Amino acid sequence: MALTTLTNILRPTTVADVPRLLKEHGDSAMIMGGGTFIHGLVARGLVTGVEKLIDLSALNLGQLELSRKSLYIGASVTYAALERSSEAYSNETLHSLLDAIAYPPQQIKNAATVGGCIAGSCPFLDLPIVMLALDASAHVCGSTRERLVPVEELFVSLFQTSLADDEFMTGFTVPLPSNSTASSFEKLETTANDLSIVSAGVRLSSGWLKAKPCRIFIGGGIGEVPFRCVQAEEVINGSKLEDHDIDRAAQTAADEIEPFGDHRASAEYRKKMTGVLVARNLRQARSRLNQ
Amino acid sequence: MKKNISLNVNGEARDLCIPPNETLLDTLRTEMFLTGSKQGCDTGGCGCCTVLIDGESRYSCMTYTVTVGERNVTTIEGISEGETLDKLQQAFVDTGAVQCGYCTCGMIMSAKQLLSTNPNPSESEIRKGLSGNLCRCTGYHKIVEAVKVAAQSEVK
Repeated sequence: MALTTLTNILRPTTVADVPRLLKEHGDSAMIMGGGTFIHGLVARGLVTGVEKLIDLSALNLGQLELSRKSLYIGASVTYAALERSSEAYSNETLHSLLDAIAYPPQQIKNAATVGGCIAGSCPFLDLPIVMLALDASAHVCGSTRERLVPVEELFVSLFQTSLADDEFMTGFTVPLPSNSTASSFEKLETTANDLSIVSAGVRLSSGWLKAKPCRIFIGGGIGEVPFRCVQAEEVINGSKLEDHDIDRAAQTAADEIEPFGDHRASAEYRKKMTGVLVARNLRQARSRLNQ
Repeated sequence: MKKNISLNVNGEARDLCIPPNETLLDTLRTEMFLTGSKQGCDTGGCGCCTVLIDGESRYSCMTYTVTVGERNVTTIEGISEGETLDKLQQAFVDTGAVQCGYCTCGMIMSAKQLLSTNPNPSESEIRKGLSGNLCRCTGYHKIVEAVKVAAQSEVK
C-alpha cells in the first residue's frame, strides 16, 4: 500500500546526519528501520503528512556485542540476524528475546529491526515487553548529546516515546546480572501474523534459594503502554518460587491489570489470560533457572 | 519526484524511473510485467507477494523498490530453468498443491528460503516456515505435502 504523501526516502550515511535531518524536516519525516511497522500503520491510515522516510540501513547499526555484563544490540539488527547469532543464545537471561523473535513469519523476521520494534511504542508488539522485562536501556543520539535511557522511561503513550524531536535510538544494552537469572516471553495471538491479544515477559533471578527482584510486564490490548505488574512482582520477590507463589503472583497480576475489549478479545478474556500467561512464563523462567 | 534506479531481478539488471513510494510488488507487476507475485492483502499479512531478496523471503508489498539497491531480487519467474520446473514447482504440480493458484507463488518462494537453510524440515518446521503465507482455499495439507516431496527430492 503506497504512502501517497511520500516524496523521498533519505539514506543518511553517518549517525550525526539523522538528528540533523529530523530537525530539518520535523513532523514531515519519519525514521524507517525494516519498514514493516510503518507499512502496517500506512495500511490502517495512521500515517499522515509524512513526506520523507529516513532509512537507517546505510548506518552501521547492525552490531551485536557480548560482554560479561551485557549484550549490546544495534538498532538495525533484524529478527533473523538475532535468531542466527550466537550471542542471543549465550545466557539464559536472554531467553525471552529468543521466545519473542520466534513468533513472526520469516518474511517479517528478515526485514523487521529491533530498533523499529521498540521505537514504534506499541504495546501490541513483543520486543518492547521483553526489553522492559530485561531492564534494557536504549542508546539515544540527538544533535547535541548522546544518552542512555532505560526502556521503562521510553513509552509515553501509543506511538509516542519520550525522545526529543531530534533524537533517535542507535542500539540497546541488555544487562546480564551476576546472579542466576532467566527470562521467558509468551503471547496469545489469533494468527501467526497478527498483533498479540495479551503477552507477558518475565525475568527471574535467584540467590540463596530466594527470588531476587523480578520483572513482570504485560503487553497486548491492555492500555496505551506496556503494564508492569508491581504487586505480582512483590509476591515473587523474596519467595522460594514454589508453585503456590507462582499461582498467587499470577492471580495478583490478573487482578491488578485493566485490559480493554476489542475485535480480538474481550476485556474479561484478556484479564484471565494475563494470569495464565504470567503463571506459564514464571514456570518457564524457573525451569530455565534450574538448568 | 521520480528516481532513476537499477534493479537486479532474476539475474538481469533493469534501469527504471520510479516514484519513491512505489512498492517492489508494483514495480515487478506494472513496470516489469512479472505478474507471478500476487497482490493479496497488500499489508504484509497474506504472503502472496513473497519474493527473495539476496535469498531471504520478503513481502514485496511492504518493501519500497528504491531501498532494494544492488541486492538481487528473485521472483517465481526466476526459479525454473527454461521449461524445466524447480523441484518445488514440480512437487506442487505433482501433489495437487496448486489448487486455485493465487497463493502458490508466495508459498513456493517461502518454501524456497526454508529449504535453503533447512534442507530436510519436519512437518512442524514446514508449517512454521510457511506461517507468513495464507491459502484462502485452506488447502494447507497438500502444500505441506508438496514441500516434503520437494525436500525429499533435494536430499536424493
